[in-house]
Amino acid sequence: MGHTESSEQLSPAGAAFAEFLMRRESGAEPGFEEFCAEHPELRAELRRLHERWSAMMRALDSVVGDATGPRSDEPGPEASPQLGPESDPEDSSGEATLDSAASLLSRLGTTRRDRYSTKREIARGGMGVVYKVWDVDLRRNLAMKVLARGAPERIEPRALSRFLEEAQITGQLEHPGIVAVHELGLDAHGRIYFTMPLVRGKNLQQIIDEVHGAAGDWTLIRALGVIIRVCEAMGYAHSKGVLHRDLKPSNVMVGAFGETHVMDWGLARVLGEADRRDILIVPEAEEVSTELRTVRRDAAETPGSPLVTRDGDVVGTPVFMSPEQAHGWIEEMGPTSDVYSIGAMLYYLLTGRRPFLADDRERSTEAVLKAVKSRVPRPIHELAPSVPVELEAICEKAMGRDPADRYASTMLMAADLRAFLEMRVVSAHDTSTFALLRKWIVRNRWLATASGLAMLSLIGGVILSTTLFFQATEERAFAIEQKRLADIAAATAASERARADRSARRIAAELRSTTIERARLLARAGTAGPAEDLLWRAYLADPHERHALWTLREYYSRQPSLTRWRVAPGRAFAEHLDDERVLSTSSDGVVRLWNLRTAELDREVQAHEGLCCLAVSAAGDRLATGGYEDLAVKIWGLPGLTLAGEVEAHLEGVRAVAWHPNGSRLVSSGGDGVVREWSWPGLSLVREHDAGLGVCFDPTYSPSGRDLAFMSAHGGVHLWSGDAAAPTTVGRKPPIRRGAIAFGAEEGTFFAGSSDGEIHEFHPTTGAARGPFQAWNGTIRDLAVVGAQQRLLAVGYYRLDFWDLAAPGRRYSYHLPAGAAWTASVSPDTKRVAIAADGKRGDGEISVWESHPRAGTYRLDERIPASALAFSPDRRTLCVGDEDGVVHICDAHSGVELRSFRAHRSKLMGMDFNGDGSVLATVAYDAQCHVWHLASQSRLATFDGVMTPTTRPIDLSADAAELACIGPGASAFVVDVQSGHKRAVVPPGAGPKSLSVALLPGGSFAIASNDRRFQIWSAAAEEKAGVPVTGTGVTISVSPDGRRMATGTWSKTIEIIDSETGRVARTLQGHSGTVWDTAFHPTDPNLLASCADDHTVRLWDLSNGQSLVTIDVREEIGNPIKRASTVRFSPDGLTLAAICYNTVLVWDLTYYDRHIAGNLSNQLSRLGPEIPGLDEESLRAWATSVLARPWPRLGFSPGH
Amino acid sequence: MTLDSLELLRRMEAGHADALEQLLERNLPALRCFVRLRCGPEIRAKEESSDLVQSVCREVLSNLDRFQYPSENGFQQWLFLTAARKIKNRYAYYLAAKRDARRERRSSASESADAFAGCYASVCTPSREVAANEQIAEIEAAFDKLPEHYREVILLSRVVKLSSEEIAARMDKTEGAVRVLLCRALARLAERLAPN
Repeated sequence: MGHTESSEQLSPAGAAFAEFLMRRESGAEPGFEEFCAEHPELRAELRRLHERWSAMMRALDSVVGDATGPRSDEPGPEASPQLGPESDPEDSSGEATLDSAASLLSRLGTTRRDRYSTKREIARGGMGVVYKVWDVDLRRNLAMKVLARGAPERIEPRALSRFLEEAQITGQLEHPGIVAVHELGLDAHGRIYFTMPLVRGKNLQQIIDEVHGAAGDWTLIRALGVIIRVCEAMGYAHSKGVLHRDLKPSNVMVGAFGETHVMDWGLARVLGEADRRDILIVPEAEEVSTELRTVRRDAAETPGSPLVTRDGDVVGTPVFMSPEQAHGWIEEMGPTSDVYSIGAMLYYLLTGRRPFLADDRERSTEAVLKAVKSRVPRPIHELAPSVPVELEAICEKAMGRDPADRYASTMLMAADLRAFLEMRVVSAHDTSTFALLRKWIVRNRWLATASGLAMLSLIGGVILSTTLFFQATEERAFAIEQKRLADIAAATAASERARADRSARRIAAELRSTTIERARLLARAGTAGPAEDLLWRAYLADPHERHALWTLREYYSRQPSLTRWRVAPGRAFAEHLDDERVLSTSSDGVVRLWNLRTAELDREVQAHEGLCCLAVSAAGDRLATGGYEDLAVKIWGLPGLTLAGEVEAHLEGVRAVAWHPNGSRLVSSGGDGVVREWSWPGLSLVREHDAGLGVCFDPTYSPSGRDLAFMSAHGGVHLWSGDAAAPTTVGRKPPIRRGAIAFGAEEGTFFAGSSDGEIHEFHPTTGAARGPFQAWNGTIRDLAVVGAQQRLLAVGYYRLDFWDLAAPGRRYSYHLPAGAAWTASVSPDTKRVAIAADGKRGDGEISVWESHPRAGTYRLDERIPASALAFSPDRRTLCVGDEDGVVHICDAHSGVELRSFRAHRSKLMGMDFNGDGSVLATVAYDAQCHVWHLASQSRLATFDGVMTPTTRPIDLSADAAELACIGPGASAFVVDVQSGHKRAVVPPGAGPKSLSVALLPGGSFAIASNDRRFQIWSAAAEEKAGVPVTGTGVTISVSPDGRRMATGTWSKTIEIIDSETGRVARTLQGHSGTVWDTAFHPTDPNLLASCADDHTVRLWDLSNGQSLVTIDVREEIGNPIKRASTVRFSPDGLTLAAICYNTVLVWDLTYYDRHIAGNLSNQLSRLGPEIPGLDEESLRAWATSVLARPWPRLGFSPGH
Repeated sequence: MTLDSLELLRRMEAGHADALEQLLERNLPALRCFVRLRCGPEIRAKEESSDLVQSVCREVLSNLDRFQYPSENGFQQWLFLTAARKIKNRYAYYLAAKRDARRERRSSASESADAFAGCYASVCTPSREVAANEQIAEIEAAFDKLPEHYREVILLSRVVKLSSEEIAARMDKTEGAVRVLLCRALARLAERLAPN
């Protein structure tokens, strides 16, 4: 059907009219005339369009309306999302309403005379009378509002339509805070009425009296709950476009169980509808208001007395009226006018006085109106000094004179009131860091106490006053107490400020740590987006602080996102061109070529009018794109992105394209339900199939190119095998919104997944199948089989799932922080996956992930049953001793074994290098300690009777002159390597058992022993210090500068001991098993690694005792091993190695810097503006240097 | 969905042919309208839309056993899908036979309007018929000139009465995109109807 116009350009008036339709659709119902007023230059054209459109819709609806009935969720005149009278909403003139009122009346039947029996009059207003009635049929009490002025035919049409409108508006508001309308009808006298549930309880007026009086059980806090519920009910009404316009305490009813109802919607108005109520109370020029004066003469001239409208309706006391209502600027009234009225009620509740009547002086209604129009009420603190400033701020904001100053919605006001009740920060009040901190302290008193009394002394007044506020409201004594405390606090504030600042800094640091730990937990719980956000905020706030940096590295070890690029909002697709480059398309029709090495955009080209799908040929020399909007398939040369050919492919847009493996053909599928194959070059149609089964998804060739599989919305899974005339249906599925196909490595086997959340495997010849694999997030957008490793990958909302096809029960997932992912493309080397997703913040995102988590972890050759470990000081080699007594010398960069020699006849238990790496000491179960010249593998010395109670039994001095060992009887000794002379033996006789020994500078040495004492001995073998520690020390390590020592204990702690003073500087707690080994970082004196029986390896920040990273080695190995026994840093500090049971695990500590650098640019553009004092330039320079260096740094063969 | 329709579907499932007929009858005005609008002038010039509608009904009746997802929506979708496929086949047929309907068309707005008004017969009062005829001819002419996806979205929304979610699924777009498209399409149609 190529005869249609190609241009979709609307004229300016057409575009404006489309916008009008959109606004109707989105619920912000504009009146057409109001809309025209926004576009005065297009008014005439808009009118014409509107007229034709209305006629057209009527015509269409009259034809098809009967078949299916209108649906509420579609746009159009018959189903406005907003409330409105039954009349044609296009015609908002009064006549139409009266017509509809008349027709409505004609439909209302007269109720049986005996249905309701009237009990008594409850209330009377200008328009109607409310009775308590007994519903005989349903045996219940109801309230019945009757239009007072008699039978319909005698009623003024305006009053009638208003009465009906009240019933209709209330009837359409379904909210627990709004009284429902049961029935609209004519009573036996022909009077029109509607019935409502009878609400029993107190009104807010009575409650406020109780709060401020002596009697009653209402407190201010409890009454605030009522205000919040009023806010919520009004929030609902506003969402339906309804204003109340007469909110006052007597219109709020509170039941015995706290249920709160907003009553009397007689003055309510539907936004966007012409106002059918004449609620003008006082005209601008008061001298012409004779009519009102005449009416009002009947009303009492006392303050707070009801006002009467021109129509005689009772209107709220003017004190609760917004200034714009008092002025009579009715068109300016909006939801904020109701906000004002609620604010005025809050004022009344807080002070016990009505606004503008605060001085208790008698004032005429006129005077009050004048005051409302011209002044602000007396400040709350003057009337009630004890009211917390936050509540005063909320009230002031709600009662802003300018509507723009008030809360934009009642829900925001409710949120602030709730924040106050929950002691969080109130937006109307102070939002400075100090306020946040203060609120935080109030909520976390125990932690604040622990964090320092100094801080408390400054803010004690505030805390106490707020705390006491909650206790003392019951006993009314808090005002005096609070004032006294405030005075004290003020007097001492200045002198305490300095101390307080220090404490505040400390608490801020605690808060920061808490935030980071929260992010860590969030990440573990699968809430990746917020976790990443929190971590990046913490990191950018101080990039040099260890906690955020290491937690971010840990985060990326589980969520290995290498980089992220933003594209146009909406759907996006991406595919790998090669291992380093990714092609993407997005809703703007632009094809972009991204470079992973620089994390930047290489090239872009406008390919289609709108969204397009894409496919890269197997040879990587051609790109095919298919337009969702412009019907064409285009072929582009790569990497230049030059157009090589195009063809109009599908009448309803192209949905997918795919290349034949040999590049000689490509297939396309479209919204028209047709699958077509095209030759390349030439783009002539080879064959096609029209199944008539709805949109066809993801046509995919098998690796040999023999088979073609695809899915269809209504047909299921289809396979077009070889040269068959037509595809066969191999699997049925319920109607689906999206489907995806991926062929396995074995010819003929493929997987099909769809929006029903299931992936089925198909093997059409054998029928064998695994699965179905169930996606946990319920939808599958794209599938891939990852290389020879035989992993199946599925991508969908917020998740990327991998299944191990060799063991389908094994799976792992990434939580995508972005949003709904559309495609996943595996790089040719299978190491990376490119994901295209709807960004969470309204932008599209292309991200590249490693296809396996923890890729920065390596395993040394697993055939070596490792039992001891040491890095050579020249960084080149990693020596591993095994259970057979063999020393394996491995390349520290690649893990490849260079040579080995047998050092002992039994299990090696410890190894230590001298300072230049030429000499190695080894100790084994055979109770022998050998000292080796490594180059010649010749023994320099051998000592017998060396015991190996723990994993650090020996220590060789840097000059290889001395060796410290554990000897017989659990003694410790230091021996001269050359002479064999034992210069010190402790304890000389019976005593505590030594378990680990270490040499200190100057010839002294340290011993960890089983008497819970850490001993430091002088060179002359005299005990210098015996430090009580928390448990039996099993290992000692010494910092590179010799100033600190760390000992791991059986009591699961690590004690950090100052070598000079001999005192415990810090105790690290966190491990849940014996700490077998610790290691100081060679260059960062505040970084310590540890490993323990709890199968974890941890990193610690010694400046504050914070645990930085916890590596669960079971996750890394996938084995239920128990013990991590030895841990060492490489001499350059960039690598960490540990023995976990018999396996050596090696971590590249800089590995995830690549991920941080790759994501930096995106995060800076998102968060940068919010971070004060950010040094963007140096961060970017750092990222550039990280991206430029070779990565991965270590050349181990993959550990997974 | 009305209770009636549910009941009809249930009876249809139980094999009552009269239930299917009733369901068809209920959907007939919408189907007629769909077929008229979907056809475009080429096919409308070649054959009566009522023939096409009848042929759709015949196919639906004979393939009842293939209908799998008994909900009224499912039924309507099946019905309209069948019609759409049939129209596409016709289009391909005329194109292949090189009988260019565009040239052969007995271009006559009134004729076209007569046919289209046929589907109004049940709802238009005689006094409004003349006005309706003109209006319909105009709507149809304007509709024909819209781009394909505009026509599609208007058909699905205003004639087939699918929700925006269902349209999004069918057109493989987001719901938001469907709403924008629909509003633009309606505005464009209104523009076409109101030439300067």
